[in-house]
Amino acid sequence: MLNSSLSLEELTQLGSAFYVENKDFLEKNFMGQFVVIDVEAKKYEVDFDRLIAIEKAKKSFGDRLFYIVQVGSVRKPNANFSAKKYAWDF
Amino acid sequence: MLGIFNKNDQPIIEVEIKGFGGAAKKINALIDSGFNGYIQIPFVEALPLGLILAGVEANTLADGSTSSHLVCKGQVCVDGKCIDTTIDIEAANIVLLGTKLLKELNKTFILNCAEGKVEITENTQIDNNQHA
Repeated sequence: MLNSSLSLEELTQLGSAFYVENKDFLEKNFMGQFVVIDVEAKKYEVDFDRLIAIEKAKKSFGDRLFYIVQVGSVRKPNANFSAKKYAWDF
Repeated sequence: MLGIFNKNDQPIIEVEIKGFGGAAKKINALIDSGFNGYIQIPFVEALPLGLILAGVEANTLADGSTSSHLVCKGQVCVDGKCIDTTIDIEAANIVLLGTKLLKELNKTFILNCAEGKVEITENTQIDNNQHA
């Protein structure tokens, strides 16, 4: 059972704000790693493997939805561009 | 394991995706050497599998814009080898197999466009052949 009352939109907004606030520190210390953020507790776990980072966060913060970002990563343009056309893209 | 080129000359290989509830489905995935992720599937494939939602991931695209997508946990099998991994769920109706997943599976991707050959093999097989 997920322990969170946030909508996906709220999760994205809070996660993005947290990342921007901590961008310099995260990029200095965790470049290339996946940061899995509990946006309510304002805490995070990191790992180079995304699944491990998620499992660490789940163990530390409980069964909830996380905001995930790979520090410093720029995704190659591919078919994902078409996803932006949808109004319900988060 | 052999794949094929589709009519658009894109390399396609069959993979199996499993949810933790036991549901599984074999689907054709486009091997995207420029996709440095794990695997991306559309909602229409993800929902029946009962994958476990882990969160939302943000991406900065090469044009500077950002987008977000759902990230689930599930199991992916390629060439008989299965691993627990994370799966990107996108609106785009396409299945992409990325380089991180092939790396975790210890696979070698062989692409011979001239002969229309697509193959994924265990990394050790290539090493043995090279040293034979």
